[in-house]
Amino acid sequence: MGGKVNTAVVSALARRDLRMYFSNPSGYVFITLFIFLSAAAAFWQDRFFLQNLANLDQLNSVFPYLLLFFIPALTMGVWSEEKKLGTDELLLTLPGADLEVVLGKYLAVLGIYSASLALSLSYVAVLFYLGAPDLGLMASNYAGYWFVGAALIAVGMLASLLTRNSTVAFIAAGLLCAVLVAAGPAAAAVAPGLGRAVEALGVFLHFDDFAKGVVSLSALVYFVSVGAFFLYLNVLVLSRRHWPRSVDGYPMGLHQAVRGAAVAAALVAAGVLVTNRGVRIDVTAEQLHSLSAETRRLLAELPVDRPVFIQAFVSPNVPEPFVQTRSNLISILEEIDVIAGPRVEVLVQDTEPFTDAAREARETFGIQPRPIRNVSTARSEVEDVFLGVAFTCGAEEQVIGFFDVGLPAEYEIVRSIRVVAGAGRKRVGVVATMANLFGGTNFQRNQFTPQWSVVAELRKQYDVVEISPEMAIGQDVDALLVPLPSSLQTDEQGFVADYVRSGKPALILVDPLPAVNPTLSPAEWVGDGNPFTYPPGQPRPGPRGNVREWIRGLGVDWEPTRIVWDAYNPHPELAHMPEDVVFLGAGNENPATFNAEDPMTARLQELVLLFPGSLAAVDDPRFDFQPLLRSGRVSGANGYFSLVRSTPFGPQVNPSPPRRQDDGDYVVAARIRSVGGAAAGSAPDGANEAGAAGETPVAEEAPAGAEPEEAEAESPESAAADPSAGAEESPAGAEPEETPAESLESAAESAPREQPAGTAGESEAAGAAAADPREQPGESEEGGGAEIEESVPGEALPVEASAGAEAEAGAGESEPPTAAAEAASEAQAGEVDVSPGAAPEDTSGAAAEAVAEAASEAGSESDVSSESAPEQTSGAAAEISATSETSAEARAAETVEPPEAPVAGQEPPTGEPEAESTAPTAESAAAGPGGGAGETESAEDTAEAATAEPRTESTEDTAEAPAAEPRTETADGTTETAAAEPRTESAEDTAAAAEPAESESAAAVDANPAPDSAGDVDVIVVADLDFISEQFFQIREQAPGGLNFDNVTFFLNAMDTLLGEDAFIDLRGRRARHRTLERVEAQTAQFIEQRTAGEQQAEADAEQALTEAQQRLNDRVAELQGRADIDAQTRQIMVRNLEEVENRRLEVLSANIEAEKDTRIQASRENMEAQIRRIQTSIKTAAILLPPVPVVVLGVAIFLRRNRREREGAAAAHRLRE
Amino acid sequence: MTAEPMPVMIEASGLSKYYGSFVAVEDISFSIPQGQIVAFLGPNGAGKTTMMRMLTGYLAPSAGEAAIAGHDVRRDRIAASRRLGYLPENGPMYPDMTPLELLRFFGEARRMPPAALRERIDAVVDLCALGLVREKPIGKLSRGYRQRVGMAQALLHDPDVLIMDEPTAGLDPNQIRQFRENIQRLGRTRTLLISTHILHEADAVADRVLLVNSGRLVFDGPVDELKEDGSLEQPFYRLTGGAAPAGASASAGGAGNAAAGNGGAAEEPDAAGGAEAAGAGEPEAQGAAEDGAAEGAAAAGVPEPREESAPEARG
Repeated sequence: MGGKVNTAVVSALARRDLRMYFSNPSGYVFITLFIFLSAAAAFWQDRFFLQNLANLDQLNSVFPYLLLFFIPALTMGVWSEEKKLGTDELLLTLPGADLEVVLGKYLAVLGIYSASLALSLSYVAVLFYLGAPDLGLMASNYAGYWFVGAALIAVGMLASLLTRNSTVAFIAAGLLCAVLVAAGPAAAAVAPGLGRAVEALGVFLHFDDFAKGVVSLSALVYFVSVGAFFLYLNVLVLSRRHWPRSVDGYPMGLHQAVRGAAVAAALVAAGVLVTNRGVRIDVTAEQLHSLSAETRRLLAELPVDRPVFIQAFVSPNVPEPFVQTRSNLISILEEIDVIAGPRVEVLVQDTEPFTDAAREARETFGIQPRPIRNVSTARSEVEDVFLGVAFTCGAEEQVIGFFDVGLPAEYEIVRSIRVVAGAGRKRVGVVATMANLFGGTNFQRNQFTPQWSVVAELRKQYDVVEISPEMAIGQDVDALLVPLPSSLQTDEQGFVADYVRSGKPALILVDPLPAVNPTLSPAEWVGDGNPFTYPPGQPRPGPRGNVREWIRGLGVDWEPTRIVWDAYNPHPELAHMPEDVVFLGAGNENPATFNAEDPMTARLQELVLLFPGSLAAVDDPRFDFQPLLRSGRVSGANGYFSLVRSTPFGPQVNPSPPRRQDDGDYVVAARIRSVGGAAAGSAPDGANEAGAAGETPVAEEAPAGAEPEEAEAESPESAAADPSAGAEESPAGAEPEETPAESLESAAESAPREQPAGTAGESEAAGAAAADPREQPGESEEGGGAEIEESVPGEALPVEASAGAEAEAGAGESEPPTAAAEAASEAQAGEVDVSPGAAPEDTSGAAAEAVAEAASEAGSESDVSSESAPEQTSGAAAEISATSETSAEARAAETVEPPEAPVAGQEPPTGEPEAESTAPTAESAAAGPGGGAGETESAEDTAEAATAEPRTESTEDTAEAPAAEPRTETADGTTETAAAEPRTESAEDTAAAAEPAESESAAAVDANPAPDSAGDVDVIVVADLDFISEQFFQIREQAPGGLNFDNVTFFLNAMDTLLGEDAFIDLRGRRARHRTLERVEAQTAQFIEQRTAGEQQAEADAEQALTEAQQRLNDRVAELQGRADIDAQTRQIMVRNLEEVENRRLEVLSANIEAEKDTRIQASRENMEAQIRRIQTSIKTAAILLPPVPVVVLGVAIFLRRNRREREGAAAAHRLRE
Repeated sequence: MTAEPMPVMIEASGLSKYYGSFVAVEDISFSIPQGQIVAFLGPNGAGKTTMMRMLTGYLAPSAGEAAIAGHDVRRDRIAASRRLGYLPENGPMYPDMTPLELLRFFGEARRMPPAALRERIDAVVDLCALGLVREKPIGKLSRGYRQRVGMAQALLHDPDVLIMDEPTAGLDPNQIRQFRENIQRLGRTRTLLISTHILHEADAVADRVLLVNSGRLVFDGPVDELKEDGSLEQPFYRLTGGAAPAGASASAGGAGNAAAGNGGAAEEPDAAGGAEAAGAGEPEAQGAAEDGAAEGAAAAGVPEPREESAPEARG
């Protein structure tokens, strides 16, 4: 052997073998089989579609096993055929060394193998057809296939060399390869310790690197070593014919065995050396397996003088699922150690339980081992595993107790380093709301709630303090996290708003239906459980503020009863989830799902929201509304009450309400900033001053008056003025308890939802503000939709309708007269407003307020305002709300009225309002305006204002009439407006006397330029609380089934952005792109759309059928009525009979129609499922059958060509012979 | 020609080959000068094939040395093989290749320049009369053609030394005659060593005879010297221990021919070994061979196991 390699022999031999293999049809049989089997492995498994990823994971997991058959098939004839034919004698007497012959043979097989792989590249084509696979990953996968094969070929050749029978060679090669492929797993099953050692010699461990997209030097060295070693054995065995009997007294076989062992040992040593060097090239598109540039930058920014010490306590051996995590962790730490130089010192301690290291970990840093069940062994054992890291720098310390498999190790480590090295942390206040993020023990219910992980997560980066909203929030808090502001009371909301307007940032999480605790839904009743269970003597929680108004004041229009759904769900294994679990991701066909321009969302890939709400901008130029997250194309929104049914056990969610897809998408998260800043705050004050006038600003949040505080302040004086006041807190009448109003609410809710658009006329008044508790109950019931309130002199109660619309009325409550009015309104579109006005002079000038919410479009809207009914009435306040959008007119009308009521002031003329308010008489509080935007729609729904009557609180309704009517009429005939009469309240629709005063302009009107109240706002509003609930932290840690949601990332990004700490945002964004099977998704989406359409059609048809049936009935009745030939009594009887019969028929019919509808819907779903299955089946069938086709064609072509040539040759020979 | 002092082209000195305790070849020495045609005679299993394999460098001898054209085949096999053309017994060939492909392959492996290769291929195709079957897969050729393809392969690079193992086995009389003519022609410039157990063969073409029996050289000299009464048969029987009555000898010779005619199956050590291997797999085959050897294995198949069997068992 020796000397130079004679390439002539090598290449001639390789070319000969290659040519022979490919010119022989039988060679194609194996290749075809191989391609077919690996295509089946890649695409046929259900997991491929379940996982919905455009990669070759399924193939990777079995590829080495496939080679157990394919490689022996390729190598079995390599030597055994030569021996059988005797041609080895020719080859070995050529002027070429044994090594050259071996190499020639090897290269030939390698060539065949490479060609097979090249032919199998069609899988990549399939993936490209289905989605957008990562080319780097594909390349690395194929490199992995190639290297595994290259190593195993040498093994297979050795087997072939041992026999002259190819069948025996095939089996022997399979067995030898199996040792390398399967020994690790097999040994691990028997003895875990041994298993790990053997594993390191096995193919899988090293192939995994390639499968992940990492080309590591150690894997390369491994495969090259295995290949080289077995080639060496080939040469050794081949040269056995030359061996002398013995050398130096030892048999030659022993010599060679020792030699082989020495070579093996050298190679293993080289492998170990290289492995420890850890050189890896990351070929994936996202460079996920190497430290990012951001990390390097962050490390470089660390101060040199204060090094960070990192102590990692890591078990030397970890069970299977953690092997990767452990090696990742260690390699990241080591790389950081190198990159950061003197700034970071890393100490990795192998930590076994019950050792000094373990004690140090526990006592110094509180790092505890986690018991992990090792499932890879037959007898499952529990091992204590350490995977904790402690970071210290001076007195700062941070500990990550356990690196779970899903945790983004690089981010966690770098974040910890930065945080311990950095000076002072910013302070984040978490508002204590019913969401109860801090957990704790509730003694009333005797239950303990753990703290949310989100708090712990925030603590890793910031100082987190719990903030009570019951008093003004200090400026020492750098940012606020406000979960579920809807559970706050009006004044609490006011404190939060003040804080926000003072220019501090806040992250506000509103939620129409917090899945963590549905009873906290804004649409649910306010209190904390059943009011009757409250222990006597305990303060009862007050009614909640009007969150809708409140948040409008921050520039966001959020309807608390709308729940967004989205049909997109990229996880077939999570297919059972209702569509209210909203997945946001690239596959939902909405390119704007993640705001690509904002760094905090630009790199997000998938987010999950549970029952989110939808946000919209208010029409107010002072706010810049920037959507951050939007739902997908196939999405829609449902009303809260079509989705949730109240039961004695709490709200129950209906998993499949009718869903109507609508055009467009829904914004589920947005950032709102004041344009130009400024104005802030002032408004409120102004309002206050105005005294009587309701503050509009206030109005925003709370139904009526938003600004609790101020309002209150004033209220005293002006009495009713504060709308808000009216609302619970205010001194005024707020009688929380009265809540009886609930009934109202519910009524209101339902109504609004259904017919949001509904004409103004709708009977229901949306939420009504209630003035008097007692009365209300009664009325509400009756009213169904309409509410009325009266005010009691003493108090006025506002209630809000929970439904989205609510209005609160402020009640004036000063002693005598007060009036509260509220209008609730809601409309889908719109808003509401309300305003109660109360103001009797006599009474002392209670103020009445009306609040209007500003709907964004103030202009159009109506508004409301309260007026007081002045003197005449006796100073009761009346208010009215104007309902119709038309409101404009309404207002006008009202304005007109002023005469009557001084109140009128509110109206546009405004200036007066205040004045008036001050005036003893009536002042209407013109709260409405505040709403600033005046909101229009309110009209539709209803407005109600409650008015309180001073003296009378009597229930009479009549009273209203007087005052009310006038306006109403003007209003446009729509009934809604109600005027509250001083004494009486308007029974019907609305009680409020609202002053429409302002439409947008209103602002001006009311004394309060309330609007300006906008302040210097910088908030991010997310219409979901659940996206940071525990489950998402768990998923982030453990990544079950490869799930990887960006919920936490988004949350932290948002917080960082608000605080101006954007160092980690890029780092958090590092993760593999979720490359789904887009084509499958697109086709599936199509069917989902069809299904949705089908369901809608079914619903519509059913409805129509019912209408027709009803119509028929009506017609017949009418016909009967019209008959002149029977006397009235008979007709009466006949009609009744007919109705009875027809009604029964109708019932049956409607039952049938319902059944048919259900059947159609069911069928449409089944149809969709079938279609999806069909798509999948056709895709996988094609994916399996197509790749082998070219090979088969080639094989057949060669076979035919050979035959032809032979025939021609024979014929030619024949001719020659003749 | 034998007397001319020409350079020694094939030399064996003390060549021995043992398989375990079985002696395949023992202490054979001879040297063949250029231009000589030598017949290597011996009964089946006498060690002819082993001997030739040692000469070509395919097998390493247990003792002794062999040289081709002055190159020690042990130490300098590559150089020796450039000067050597070798036709193994049975003319093993790749059945899937056509003669042309085969010749091209061997030419390339020997690094012959393409032009020269083409020329040589034409020459040997002519020489061996392969024109009609150049494009036909070897597997479909008759035995005679295959033998000729083998010879063409051996002659392809125009070697100085030709070693052929049973080249005429399976040929029909016409082909044999043609073969003999070729040999005669080649013998003028080259050195030929041809093994055979057909006495006429030796008589017809050889200048010199090497007669082996049971691994030992029992005669080395000109053909004429071996002849007794103008025939090689008697001395052959005498020297190879097949000493049989004159009457039986004819039939023995006939049997030998017949065996050769049917592909030499009976004489083929390979065949025997192969049969065993097929039944029991390689190790057993070797074991059997060794056992047989240990027992002095009378079996014809044993003496020349092709396997380089179990070196560790030797001793």
